[in-house]
Amino acid sequence: MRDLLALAGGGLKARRLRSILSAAGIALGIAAMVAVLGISASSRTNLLAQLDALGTNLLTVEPGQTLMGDNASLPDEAPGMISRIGPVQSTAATTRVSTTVRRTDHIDEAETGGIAVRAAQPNLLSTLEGTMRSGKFLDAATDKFPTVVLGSVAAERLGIDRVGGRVWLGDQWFTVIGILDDLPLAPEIDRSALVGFPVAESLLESDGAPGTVYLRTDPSAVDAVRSVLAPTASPKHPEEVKVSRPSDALAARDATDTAFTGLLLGLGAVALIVGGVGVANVMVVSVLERRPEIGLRRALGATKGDVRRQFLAESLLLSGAGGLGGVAIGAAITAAYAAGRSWGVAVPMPALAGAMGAALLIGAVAGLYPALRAARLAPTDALRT
Amino acid sequence: MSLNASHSLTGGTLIPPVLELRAASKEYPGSPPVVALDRVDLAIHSGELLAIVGPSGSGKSTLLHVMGTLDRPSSGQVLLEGQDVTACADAELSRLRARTIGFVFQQFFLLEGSTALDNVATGLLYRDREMSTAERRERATAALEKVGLGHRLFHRPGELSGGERQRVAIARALVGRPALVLADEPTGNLDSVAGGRILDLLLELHAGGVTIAVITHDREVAERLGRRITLRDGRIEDDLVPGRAA
Repeated sequence: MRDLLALAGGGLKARRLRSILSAAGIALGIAAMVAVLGISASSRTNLLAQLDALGTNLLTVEPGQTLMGDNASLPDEAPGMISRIGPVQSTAATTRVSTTVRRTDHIDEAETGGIAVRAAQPNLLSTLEGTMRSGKFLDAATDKFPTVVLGSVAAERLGIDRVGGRVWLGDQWFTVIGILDDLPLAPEIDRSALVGFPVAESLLESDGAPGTVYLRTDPSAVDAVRSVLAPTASPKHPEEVKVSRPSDALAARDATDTAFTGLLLGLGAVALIVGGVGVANVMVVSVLERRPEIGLRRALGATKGDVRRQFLAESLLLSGAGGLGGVAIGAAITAAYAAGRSWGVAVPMPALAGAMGAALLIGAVAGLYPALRAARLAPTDALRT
Repeated sequence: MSLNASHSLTGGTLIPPVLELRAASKEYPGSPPVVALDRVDLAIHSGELLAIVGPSGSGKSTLLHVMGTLDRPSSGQVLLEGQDVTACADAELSRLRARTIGFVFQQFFLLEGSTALDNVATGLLYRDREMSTAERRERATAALEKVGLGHRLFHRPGELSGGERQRVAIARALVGRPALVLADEPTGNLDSVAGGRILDLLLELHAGGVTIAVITHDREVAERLGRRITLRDGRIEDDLVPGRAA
């Protein structure tokens, strides 16, 4: 076995450049496949870690539509009823306020930048487990005055990066007292300007009816709470209540990634097959060139099997080296990509083993015909030069 | 004598010839078929030094291939050390060839990427598959020293002169201690000085007990060797043994 490897290695070393080039073909295919699998695995690992950090025990309750197709509304008592469900740990109501927020009053009213104005209860921040980029959230004191807390996207679109400035909300100036960090589980809040319920009712003509209610439950009772939420929020019309779990949307992203991964893997496989054709080509040429060597080895007592094994081993060594190189390159690409997105690196071991297996299989298939041809060569023909 | 005439009696022990052809013929298909060897009878005994001469087209190459078991006769028999190998399977024949016959070719056939030492060690690769690399190299070193190339162990063929390359090839043929060395035009690619030295070496090896058959078209070379077999049109025309009348 060691002799065979030494023999194959020697054969490749004698044609160094050609060997490197054909191994590079295999390496490219393998690198593509490993990188695709590695990046998608890293992305999934990252997503799971993110879900873990955000928690999957956040639920939202929103008014849906009536049987007639009109917009429904939640009863005023809904937040209070929900907060009395045993395993519910905290509840915070928000509601849309039909007005706009702009940088100044000179900007046209139609240019809202996609920013919504919402009234929010002071405990929204703790219920969403959000953090402040700067300033403070609404509290019992500030929610009675024209003060506003901006979501991360809203702040960016309004061009406001620190507290203390003013924005034109409704038809008067509101002071910005806080800017939120990103809230991955509530992207609608990222695009909102939040004011207190009292000020919404006094200055912005809101009726104060609850819109979306956010709640955190005991993590072990999420499903139980979920099943009773609709009848609790609206005992008369439970069918008009929409209950959802925001973390489900994040998890669904994983499924779309998988479809894309399949496509990229297919491209990697094509690259690998092209690499295999390259190896087969090099081996066929090698057999033609090395007729004298084959003849000599037969004269020295090599059997047909010896010759066949030698050429097959060369092909396997070539593709194996390409496979190893490809795994290294693919892992490096994954690491670089993951580092760029500050993910953890996850390269699945089965993918590495599969990639090496694919490389060796390609090598065996590509080397089989040339090896058989070399072995079939009659010694007398091989020695005739 | 009732014994087979081709056997020699040494010290009371019956020793079969190293190589024997019995009515060996080789025909190549075609119309009409080409008869390259025509019922050749030939026995080579241990310790002999012989030349097989003949013009080109006389069947020398075919004879070499049949003697070396690289090709099978169309009819007749080939015996290696008394054993009929005519019907042997390829693998068995390869094994016997590795142990019994050492080849020296006109074109040397050295592996360009390997050192002289590794080229010679390759001569043992298929002979004794249990032998370690270290031992193969050790024996290869001894063989290279025997042909006067002890100072060229780690040179590659590209760094050696033609005469030195042929010495490496001879060392490779000798390293497995074959019963018979078959040399096909060993001086054919060398100038007369280098060729003369190679012949000196073959004579010296023969004096040391190696059995050597040299195939050549060169009468001058043949004259320096012992027994001379002349081939013409696939037949043995003449078999001259020195010291014996034709």
